[in-house]
Amino acid sequence: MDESYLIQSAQHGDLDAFNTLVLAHQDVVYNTALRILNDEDLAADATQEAFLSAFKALNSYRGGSFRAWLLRTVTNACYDELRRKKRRPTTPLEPETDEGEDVESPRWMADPNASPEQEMDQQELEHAIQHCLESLPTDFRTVVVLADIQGLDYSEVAVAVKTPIGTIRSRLARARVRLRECLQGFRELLPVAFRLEEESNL
Amino acid sequence: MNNVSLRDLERLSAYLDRELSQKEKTRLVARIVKEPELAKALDELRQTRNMLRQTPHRKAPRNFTLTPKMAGIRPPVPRVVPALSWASAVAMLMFVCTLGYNFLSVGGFGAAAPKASDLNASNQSVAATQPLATQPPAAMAATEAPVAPPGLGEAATETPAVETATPTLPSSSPKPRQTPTVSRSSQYGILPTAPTATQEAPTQEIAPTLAAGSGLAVASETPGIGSRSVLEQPTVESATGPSSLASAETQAAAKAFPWAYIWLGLATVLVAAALLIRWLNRLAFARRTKG
Repeated sequence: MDESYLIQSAQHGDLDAFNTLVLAHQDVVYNTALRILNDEDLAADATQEAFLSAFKALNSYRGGSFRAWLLRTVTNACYDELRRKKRRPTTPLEPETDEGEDVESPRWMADPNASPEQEMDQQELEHAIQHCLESLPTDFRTVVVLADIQGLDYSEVAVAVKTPIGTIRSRLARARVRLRECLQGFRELLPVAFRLEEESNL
Repeated sequence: MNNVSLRDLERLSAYLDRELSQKEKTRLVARIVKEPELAKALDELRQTRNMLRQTPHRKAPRNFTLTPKMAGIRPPVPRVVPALSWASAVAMLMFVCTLGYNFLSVGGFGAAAPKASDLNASNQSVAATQPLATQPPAAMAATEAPVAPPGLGEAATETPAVETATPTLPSSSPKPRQTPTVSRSSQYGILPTAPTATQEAPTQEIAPTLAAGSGLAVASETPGIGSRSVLEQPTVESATGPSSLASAETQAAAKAFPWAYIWLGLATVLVAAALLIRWLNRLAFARRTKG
Protein backbone atom coordinates (compact mmCIF):
# COMPACT_ATOMS: atom_id res chain seq x y z
CA MET A 1 0.00 0.00 0.00
CA ASP A 2 1.13 3.54 -0.70
CA GLU A 3 3.15 4.90 2.22
CA SER A 4 1.86 8.45 1.89
CA TYR A 5 -1.73 7.17 1.99
CA LEU A 6 -0.96 5.16 5.13
CA ILE A 7 0.67 8.17 6.74
CA GLN A 8 -2.33 10.32 5.93
CA SER A 9 -4.71 7.74 7.37
CA ALA A 10 -2.57 7.39 10.48
CA GLN A 11 -2.59 11.15 10.89
CA HIS A 12 -6.37 10.95 11.02
CA GLY A 13 -6.12 8.45 13.87
CA ASP A 14 -6.17 5.20 11.91
CA LEU A 15 -4.13 2.92 14.14
CA ASP A 16 -4.23 0.04 11.68
CA ALA A 17 -2.61 2.21 9.02
CA PHE A 18 0.06 3.27 11.48
CA ASN A 19 0.70 -0.33 12.50
CA THR A 20 1.23 -1.18 8.84
CA LEU A 21 3.93 1.49 8.79
CA VAL A 22 5.36 0.06 12.00
CA LEU A 23 5.68 -3.38 10.47
CA ALA A 24 7.38 -1.92 7.42
CA HIS A 25 9.96 0.07 9.40
CA GLN A 26 10.42 -1.80 12.66
CA ASP A 27 13.55 -3.67 11.55
CA VAL A 28 15.34 -0.46 10.55
CA VAL A 29 14.28 1.31 13.71
CA TYR A 30 15.24 -1.60 15.94
CA ASN A 31 18.63 -2.08 14.29
CA THR A 32 19.39 1.62 14.63
CA ALA A 33 18.53 1.50 18.30
CA LEU A 34 20.55 -1.68 18.75
CA ARG A 35 23.69 -0.19 17.17
CA ILE A 36 23.43 3.01 19.16
CA LEU A 37 22.62 1.37 22.48
CA ASN A 38 24.39 -1.99 22.06
CA ASP A 39 21.75 -3.64 24.21
CA GLU A 40 18.89 -5.71 22.88
CA ASP A 41 16.43 -5.02 25.65
CA LEU A 42 17.12 -1.32 25.73
CA ALA A 43 16.90 -1.24 21.95
CA ALA A 44 13.49 -2.94 22.05
CA ASP A 45 12.32 -0.47 24.67
CA ALA A 46 13.60 2.47 22.67
CA THR A 47 11.95 1.13 19.52
CA GLN A 48 8.60 0.78 21.22
CA GLU A 49 8.96 4.22 22.75
CA ALA A 50 9.90 5.65 19.37
CA PHE A 51 6.82 4.25 17.65
CA LEU A 52 4.62 5.49 20.44
CA SER A 53 6.13 8.97 20.24
CA ALA A 54 5.85 8.86 16.46
CA PHE A 55 2.15 8.08 16.62
CA LYS A 56 1.52 10.88 19.06
CA ALA A 57 3.57 13.37 17.07
CA LEU A 58 2.45 12.18 13.66
CA ASN A 59 0.76 15.47 12.85
CA SER A 60 4.15 17.20 13.09
CA TYR A 61 5.32 15.18 10.07
CA ARG A 62 5.27 17.57 7.13
CA GLY A 63 6.41 15.37 4.29
CA GLY A 64 9.88 14.32 3.19
CA SER A 65 11.52 11.05 4.11
CA PHE A 66 9.26 9.27 6.57
CA ARG A 67 12.07 6.88 7.41
CA ALA A 68 14.30 9.78 8.41
CA TRP A 69 11.51 11.32 10.48
CA LEU A 70 10.92 7.97 12.17
CA LEU A 71 14.64 7.52 12.83
CA ARG A 72 14.70 10.90 14.52
CA THR A 73 12.22 9.64 17.10
CA VAL A 74 14.25 6.51 17.73
CA THR A 75 17.44 8.56 17.98
CA ASN A 76 15.82 10.74 20.61
CA ALA A 77 14.58 7.66 22.44
CA CYS A 78 18.12 6.24 22.36
CA TYR A 79 19.57 9.46 23.75
CA ASP A 80 17.02 9.29 26.56
CA GLU A 81 18.02 5.70 27.27
CA LEU A 82 21.71 6.60 27.29
CA ARG A 83 21.10 9.47 29.69
CA ARG A 84 19.13 7.12 31.93
CA LYS A 85 21.88 4.55 31.69
CA LYS A 86 24.44 7.12 32.75
CA ARG A 87 22.38 8.05 35.78
CA ARG A 88 21.74 4.43 36.77
CA PRO A 89 24.46 2.16 35.41
CA THR A 90 23.46 -1.50 35.32
CA THR A 91 25.25 -4.78 34.73
CA PRO A 92 23.91 -6.67 31.73
CA LEU A 93 22.78 -10.23 32.31
CA GLU A 94 25.11 -11.96 29.86
CA PRO A 95 25.15 -15.75 29.81
CA GLU A 96 28.12 -17.20 31.63
CA THR A 97 30.22 -20.33 31.21
CA ASP A 98 30.71 -22.84 33.99
CA GLU A 99 33.81 -20.94 35.04
CA GLY A 100 31.77 -17.73 35.40
CA GLU A 101 33.07 -16.05 32.23
CA ASP A 102 30.75 -14.14 29.93
CA VAL A 103 29.82 -15.81 26.66
CA GLU A 104 30.55 -13.21 24.01
CA SER A 105 28.43 -14.72 21.26
CA PRO A 106 25.34 -16.14 22.85
CA ARG A 107 23.52 -18.85 20.98
CA TRP A 108 20.27 -16.84 20.75
CA MET A 109 22.02 -14.24 18.64
CA ALA A 110 22.68 -16.77 15.90
CA ASP A 111 20.96 -16.58 12.52
CA PRO A 112 19.39 -20.04 12.02
CA ASN A 113 19.65 -19.76 8.21
CA ALA A 114 23.41 -19.20 8.06
CA SER A 115 26.01 -21.93 7.83
CA PRO A 116 28.30 -22.37 10.85
CA GLU A 117 31.19 -20.62 9.05
CA GLN A 118 29.04 -17.72 7.91
CA GLU A 119 27.53 -17.50 11.32
CA MET A 120 30.95 -17.31 12.90
CA ASP A 121 32.12 -14.67 10.42
CA GLN A 122 29.04 -12.58 10.97
CA GLN A 123 29.37 -12.81 14.71
CA GLU A 124 33.02 -11.82 14.65
CA LEU A 125 32.33 -8.90 12.35
CA GLU A 126 29.35 -7.75 14.36
CA HIS A 127 31.29 -7.98 17.57
CA ALA A 128 34.19 -5.99 16.15
CA ILE A 129 31.97 -3.27 14.71
CA GLN A 130 29.86 -3.01 17.80
CA HIS A 131 32.93 -2.75 19.96
CA CYS A 132 34.33 0.05 17.81
CA LEU A 133 31.00 1.85 17.64
CA GLU A 134 30.86 1.74 21.39
CA SER A 135 34.13 3.64 21.58
CA LEU A 136 32.73 6.55 19.56
CA PRO A 137 31.04 9.58 21.07
CA THR A 138 27.26 9.27 20.85
CA ASP A 139 26.87 11.97 18.17
CA PHE A 140 29.47 10.35 15.93
CA ARG A 141 28.06 6.90 16.52
CA THR A 142 24.55 7.98 15.61
CA VAL A 143 25.70 9.58 12.37
CA VAL A 144 27.76 6.60 11.25
CA VAL A 145 24.98 4.16 12.14
CA LEU A 146 22.46 6.15 10.14
CA ALA A 147 24.70 6.79 7.15
CA ASP A 148 26.81 3.65 6.83
CA ILE A 149 24.75 0.95 8.51
CA GLN A 150 21.24 2.12 7.60
CA GLY A 151 22.28 3.71 4.31
CA LEU A 152 20.67 7.13 4.72
CA ASP A 153 21.97 10.01 2.63
CA TYR A 154 23.26 13.18 4.22
CA SER A 155 20.00 15.07 4.00
CA GLU A 156 18.13 12.22 5.68
CA VAL A 157 20.75 11.98 8.42
CA ALA A 158 20.47 15.73 8.92
CA VAL A 159 16.71 15.35 9.37
CA ALA A 160 17.13 12.36 11.68
CA VAL A 161 19.57 14.07 14.04
CA LYS A 162 18.28 17.61 13.39
CA THR A 163 21.75 18.87 12.53
CA PRO A 164 23.06 20.83 9.51
CA ILE A 165 24.48 18.80 6.64
CA GLY A 166 27.93 20.39 7.08
CA THR A 167 28.11 19.03 10.60
CA ILE A 168 26.96 15.62 9.42
CA ARG A 169 29.72 15.56 6.83
CA SER A 170 32.36 16.44 9.39
CA ARG A 171 31.12 13.97 12.00
CA LEU A 172 30.87 11.16 9.51
CA ALA A 173 34.42 11.66 8.26
CA ARG A 174 35.83 11.73 11.79
CA ALA A 175 33.79 8.70 12.78
CA ARG A 176 35.06 6.74 9.80
CA VAL A 177 38.64 7.63 10.58
CA ARG A 178 38.25 6.51 14.19
CA LEU A 179 36.49 3.32 13.17
CA ARG A 180 39.23 2.57 10.70
CA GLU A 181 41.82 2.80 13.46
CA CYS A 182 39.72 0.72 15.83
CA LEU A 183 38.94 -2.00 13.30
CA GLN A 184 42.62 -2.32 12.46
CA GLY A 185 42.98 -3.84 15.93
CA PHE A 186 40.66 -6.66 14.86
CA ARG A 187 42.61 -7.32 11.66
CA GLU A 188 43.64 -10.85 12.62
CA LEU A 189 40.31 -11.71 14.17
CA LEU A 190 38.17 -10.58 11.29
CA PRO A 191 37.33 -13.02 8.51
CA VAL A 192 39.32 -12.62 5.33
CA ALA A 193 36.40 -11.16 3.45
CA PHE A 194 36.19 -8.28 5.85
CA ARG A 195 39.83 -7.54 6.52
CA LEU A 196 40.97 -4.01 5.96
CA GLU A 197 43.31 -4.64 3.10
CA GLU A 198 44.32 -2.59 0.19
CA GLU A 199 41.71 -2.39 -2.51
CA SER A 200 42.44 -1.08 -5.91
CA ASN A 201 38.95 -0.47 -7.20
CA LEU A 202 37.79 3.11 -6.83
CA MET B 1 45.71 8.78 6.80
CA ASN B 2 47.71 10.61 9.40
CA ASN B 3 49.26 13.01 6.89
CA VAL B 4 45.94 14.03 5.44
CA SER B 5 44.24 17.06 6.92
CA LEU B 6 40.85 16.76 8.52
CA ARG B 7 39.38 19.03 5.86
CA ASP B 8 40.64 16.72 3.12
CA LEU B 9 39.32 13.68 4.98
CA GLU B 10 35.90 15.31 5.09
CA ARG B 11 36.06 15.96 1.36
CA LEU B 12 37.17 12.38 0.68
CA SER B 13 34.39 11.01 2.85
CA ALA B 14 31.81 13.18 1.11
CA TYR B 15 33.26 12.19 -2.25
CA LEU B 16 32.66 8.54 -1.36
CA ASP B 17 29.06 9.33 -0.60
CA ARG B 18 28.63 11.46 -3.73
CA GLU B 19 27.85 14.45 -1.62
CA LEU B 20 30.35 16.86 -3.17
CA SER B 21 29.40 19.56 -5.62
CA GLN B 22 30.66 19.16 -9.17
CA LYS B 23 33.27 21.88 -8.68
CA GLU B 24 34.63 20.33 -5.47
CA LYS B 25 34.60 16.89 -6.98
CA THR B 26 36.66 17.97 -10.04
CA ARG B 27 39.19 19.70 -7.84
CA LEU B 28 39.49 16.72 -5.45
CA VAL B 29 39.86 14.13 -8.21
CA ALA B 30 42.68 16.18 -9.67
CA ARG B 31 44.43 16.21 -6.30
CA ILE B 32 43.87 12.46 -5.71
CA VAL B 33 45.67 11.73 -8.98
CA LYS B 34 48.59 13.89 -7.94
CA GLU B 35 48.76 13.02 -4.21
CA PRO B 36 49.09 9.27 -3.40
CA GLU B 37 48.36 9.90 0.31
CA LEU B 38 44.93 11.19 -0.57
CA ALA B 39 44.32 8.13 -2.74
CA LYS B 40 45.38 5.84 0.12
CA ALA B 41 43.18 7.64 2.61
CA LEU B 42 40.29 7.35 0.16
CA ASP B 43 40.83 3.58 -0.07
CA GLU B 44 40.89 3.18 3.67
CA LEU B 45 37.72 5.18 4.09
CA ARG B 46 36.01 3.10 1.41
CA GLN B 47 37.03 -0.15 3.10
CA THR B 48 35.76 1.06 6.43
CA ARG B 49 32.47 2.10 4.91
CA ASN B 50 32.10 -1.20 3.08
CA MET B 51 32.74 -3.11 6.27
CA LEU B 52 30.16 -1.07 8.15
CA ARG B 53 27.65 -1.76 5.39
CA GLN B 54 28.21 -5.48 5.99
CA THR B 55 27.04 -5.17 9.57
CA PRO B 56 24.47 -7.93 10.03
CA HIS B 57 20.89 -6.71 10.21
CA ARG B 58 18.87 -8.22 12.96
CA LYS B 59 15.22 -8.93 12.71
CA ALA B 60 13.07 -7.15 15.24
CA PRO B 61 12.63 -9.51 18.21
CA ARG B 62 8.90 -8.86 18.16
CA ASN B 63 6.31 -6.70 16.50
CA PHE B 64 6.19 -3.16 17.83
CA THR B 65 2.66 -2.44 16.70
CA LEU B 66 0.62 -0.30 19.03
CA THR B 67 -2.55 -1.36 20.77
CA PRO B 68 -5.36 1.17 21.17
CA LYS B 69 -4.60 1.26 24.87
CA MET B 70 -0.94 2.10 24.25
CA ALA B 71 -1.90 4.75 21.74
CA GLY B 72 -4.37 6.22 24.21
CA ILE B 73 -7.28 5.74 21.86
CA ARG B 74 -10.65 5.60 23.59
CA PRO B 75 -13.06 2.82 22.73
CA PRO B 76 -15.45 3.68 19.91
CA VAL B 77 -18.62 5.27 21.19
CA PRO B 78 -21.94 3.72 20.10
CA ARG B 79 -24.49 6.05 18.56
CA VAL B 80 -26.85 5.97 21.51
CA VAL B 81 -24.17 7.08 23.92
CA PRO B 82 -23.99 10.73 22.86
CA ALA B 83 -27.68 11.07 23.60
CA LEU B 84 -27.24 9.50 26.99
CA SER B 85 -23.88 11.00 27.83
CA TRP B 86 -25.74 13.71 29.74
CA ALA B 87 -27.93 11.18 31.49
CA SER B 88 -26.00 11.24 34.73
CA ALA B 89 -25.99 15.03 34.76
CA VAL B 90 -29.71 15.18 34.07
CA ALA B 91 -30.33 12.54 36.72
CA MET B 92 -28.35 14.51 39.26
CA LEU B 93 -30.20 17.69 38.32
CA MET B 94 -33.52 15.98 38.75
CA PHE B 95 -32.44 14.58 42.08
CA VAL B 96 -31.35 18.01 43.27
CA CYS B 97 -34.61 19.52 42.00
CA THR B 98 -36.58 16.90 43.89
CA LEU B 99 -34.71 17.57 47.08
CA GLY B 100 -34.94 21.30 46.54
CA TYR B 101 -38.67 21.09 45.92
CA ASN B 102 -39.18 19.17 49.12
CA PHE B 103 -36.93 21.49 51.05
CA LEU B 104 -38.53 24.68 49.79
CA SER B 105 -42.09 23.49 50.16
CA VAL B 106 -41.53 22.23 53.69
CA GLY B 107 -38.85 24.50 55.01
CA GLY B 108 -36.56 21.77 56.26
CA PHE B 109 -35.58 18.18 55.77
CA GLY B 110 -36.71 17.18 59.24
CA ALA B 111 -40.28 18.06 58.41
CA ALA B 112 -40.17 16.87 54.85
CA ALA B 113 -41.55 13.41 55.39
CA PRO B 114 -45.06 13.15 56.68
CA LYS B 115 -45.69 9.90 58.39
CA ALA B 116 -48.83 8.00 58.94
CA SER B 117 -48.00 7.79 62.62
CA ASP B 118 -47.89 11.56 62.77
CA LEU B 119 -51.25 11.80 61.10
CA ASN B 120 -52.72 9.34 63.53
CA ALA B 121 -51.15 11.11 66.43
CA SER B 122 -52.56 14.42 65.32
CA ASN B 123 -55.99 12.94 64.86
CA GLN B 124 -55.80 11.48 68.31
CA SER B 125 -54.70 14.76 69.79
CA VAL B 126 -57.49 16.49 67.97
CA ALA B 127 -59.90 14.08 69.47
CA ALA B 128 -58.40 14.66 72.87
CA THR B 129 -58.74 18.40 72.60
CA GLN B 130 -62.14 18.27 71.04
CA PRO B 131 -63.79 20.09 73.93
CA LEU B 132 -61.59 23.09 73.31
CA ALA B 133 -63.08 23.52 69.88
CA THR B 134 -65.67 25.72 71.36
CA GLN B 135 -63.44 28.71 70.68
CA PRO B 136 -62.62 28.58 66.95
CA PRO B 137 -62.29 32.37 66.49
CA ALA B 138 -59.24 32.40 68.76
CA ALA B 139 -56.91 31.32 65.98
CA MET B 140 -58.20 33.96 63.64
CA ALA B 141 -57.81 36.56 66.34
CA ALA B 142 -54.20 35.53 66.83
CA THR B 143 -53.33 35.80 63.15
CA GLU B 144 -54.95 39.15 62.87
CA ALA B 145 -53.20 40.51 65.90
CA PRO B 146 -50.41 42.52 64.12
CA VAL B 147 -52.75 44.35 61.79
CA ALA B 148 -55.54 44.68 64.21
CA PRO B 149 -56.02 47.77 66.35
CA PRO B 150 -54.69 47.61 69.90
CA GLY B 151 -58.02 46.64 71.16
CA LEU B 152 -58.09 43.50 69.10
CA GLY B 153 -54.50 42.72 69.96
CA GLU B 154 -55.43 42.71 73.57
CA ALA B 155 -58.10 40.22 72.79
CA ALA B 156 -55.57 38.04 71.03
CA THR B 157 -53.18 38.01 73.91
CA GLU B 158 -55.89 37.31 76.30
CA THR B 159 -57.19 34.37 74.37
CA PRO B 160 -54.41 31.98 75.46
CA ALA B 161 -54.97 32.94 79.02
CA VAL B 162 -58.45 31.69 78.73
CA GLU B 163 -57.21 28.47 77.20
CA THR B 164 -54.65 27.81 79.87
CA ALA B 165 -57.35 28.24 82.40
CA THR B 166 -59.37 25.42 80.92
CA PRO B 167 -59.15 22.33 83.09
CA THR B 168 -59.49 19.98 80.15
CA LEU B 169 -55.74 20.06 79.55
CA PRO B 170 -54.09 17.83 82.10
CA SER B 171 -50.87 19.32 83.36
CA SER B 172 -49.54 15.89 84.29
CA SER B 173 -49.52 14.73 80.67
CA PRO B 174 -47.39 17.11 78.60
CA LYS B 175 -46.83 14.60 75.81
CA PRO B 176 -50.25 14.92 74.24
CA ARG B 177 -49.78 18.68 74.16
CA GLN B 178 -46.34 18.54 72.57
CA THR B 179 -47.10 15.86 70.07
CA PRO B 180 -49.76 17.82 68.23
CA THR B 181 -47.46 20.82 68.04
CA VAL B 182 -44.72 18.88 66.23
CA SER B 183 -47.04 16.81 64.15
CA ARG B 184 -49.00 19.86 63.10
CA SER B 185 -45.95 21.53 61.62
CA SER B 186 -44.94 18.35 59.83
CA GLN B 187 -48.42 17.90 58.49
CA TYR B 188 -48.62 21.44 57.26
CA GLY B 189 -45.19 21.19 55.78
CA ILE B 190 -46.28 19.04 52.87
CA LEU B 191 -49.57 20.73 52.29
CA PRO B 192 -50.16 23.29 49.59
CA THR B 193 -51.62 25.44 52.33
CA ALA B 194 -48.35 25.25 54.21
CA PRO B 195 -47.32 28.88 53.66
CA THR B 196 -50.38 30.14 55.45
CA ALA B 197 -49.86 27.62 58.20
CA THR B 198 -46.20 28.44 58.64
CA GLN B 199 -46.94 32.11 58.64
CA GLU B 200 -49.23 31.67 61.52
CA ALA B 201 -46.65 30.62 64.04
CA PRO B 202 -44.37 33.66 63.71
CA THR B 203 -47.37 35.92 63.70
CA GLN B 204 -48.50 34.44 66.91
CA GLU B 205 -45.08 34.78 68.45
CA ILE B 206 -44.84 38.41 67.43
CA ALA B 207 -48.33 39.14 68.59
CA PRO B 208 -47.50 39.45 72.31
CA THR B 209 -44.52 41.65 71.49
CA LEU B 210 -46.61 43.97 69.41
CA ALA B 211 -49.22 43.97 72.03
CA ALA B 212 -46.58 44.89 74.58
CA GLY B 213 -45.36 47.64 72.29
CA SER B 214 -48.85 49.00 72.12
CA GLY B 215 -48.68 49.59 75.83
CA LEU B 216 -51.06 46.91 77.00
CA ALA B 217 -50.43 46.16 80.60
CA VAL B 218 -51.78 42.64 80.49
CA ALA B 219 -49.43 41.46 77.79
CA SER B 220 -46.34 43.17 79.19
CA GLU B 221 -46.88 41.89 82.66
CA THR B 222 -47.42 38.29 81.58
CA PRO B 223 -44.88 37.42 78.92
CA GLY B 224 -44.94 33.84 80.03
CA ILE B 225 -48.54 33.59 79.25
CA GLY B 226 -47.93 34.92 75.78
CA SER B 227 -45.30 32.29 75.06
CA ARG B 228 -47.44 29.59 76.43
CA SER B 229 -50.30 30.72 74.34
CA VAL B 230 -48.23 30.16 71.22
CA LEU B 231 -47.45 26.63 72.28
CA GLU B 232 -50.98 25.86 73.08
CA GLN B 233 -52.49 27.56 70.09
CA PRO B 234 -52.17 24.47 67.85
CA THR B 235 -54.58 22.51 69.89
CA VAL B 236 -57.14 25.14 69.28
CA GLU B 237 -56.31 25.45 65.61
CA SER B 238 -56.29 21.74 65.00
CA ALA B 239 -59.59 21.60 66.64
CA THR B 240 -61.12 24.00 64.16
CA GLY B 241 -61.80 21.22 61.67
CA PRO B 242 -60.09 17.88 62.06
CA SER B 243 -62.04 16.07 59.41
CA SER B 244 -61.54 18.70 56.73
CA LEU B 245 -57.85 19.04 57.58
CA ALA B 246 -57.25 15.31 57.30
CA SER B 247 -58.92 15.19 53.93
CA ALA B 248 -56.82 18.12 52.72
CA GLU B 249 -53.69 16.38 53.90
CA THR B 250 -54.48 13.19 52.09
CA GLN B 251 -55.30 15.10 48.93
CA ALA B 252 -52.08 17.04 49.13
CA ALA B 253 -50.10 13.91 49.82
CA ALA B 254 -51.73 12.25 46.83
CA LYS B 255 -50.63 15.20 44.70
CA ALA B 256 -47.06 15.49 46.06
CA PHE B 257 -45.95 11.87 46.26
CA PRO B 258 -46.31 10.83 42.62
CA TRP B 259 -44.15 13.70 41.46
CA ALA B 260 -41.33 12.83 43.80
CA TYR B 261 -41.51 9.19 42.82
CA ILE B 262 -41.61 10.01 39.13
CA TRP B 263 -38.60 12.30 39.36
CA LEU B 264 -36.57 9.86 41.37
CA GLY B 265 -37.64 6.98 39.16
CA LEU B 266 -36.59 8.83 36.04
CA ALA B 267 -33.24 9.69 37.60
CA THR B 268 -32.65 6.07 38.55
CA VAL B 269 -33.59 4.85 35.07
CA LEU B 270 -31.24 7.34 33.44
CA VAL B 271 -28.30 6.44 35.65
CA ALA B 272 -28.94 2.76 35.10
CA ALA B 273 -29.15 3.26 31.33
CA ALA B 274 -25.90 5.22 31.28
CA LEU B 275 -24.11 2.57 33.33
CA LEU B 276 -25.50 -0.25 31.21
CA ILE B 277 -24.44 1.35 27.96
CA ARG B 278 -20.97 2.13 29.27
CA TRP B 279 -20.58 -1.47 30.37
CA LEU B 280 -21.81 -2.80 27.02
CA ASN B 281 -19.45 -0.41 25.30
CA ARG B 282 -16.46 -1.68 27.26
CA LEU B 283 -17.48 -5.25 26.60
CA ALA B 284 -17.69 -4.64 22.86
CA PHE B 285 -14.35 -2.84 22.90
CA ALA B 286 -12.68 -5.68 24.80
CA ARG B 287 -13.98 -8.18 22.27
CA ARG B 288 -12.79 -6.06 19.40
CA THR B 289 -9.29 -5.61 20.79
CA LYS B 290 -9.01 -9.30 21.55
CA GLY B 291 -10.01 -10.16 18.03
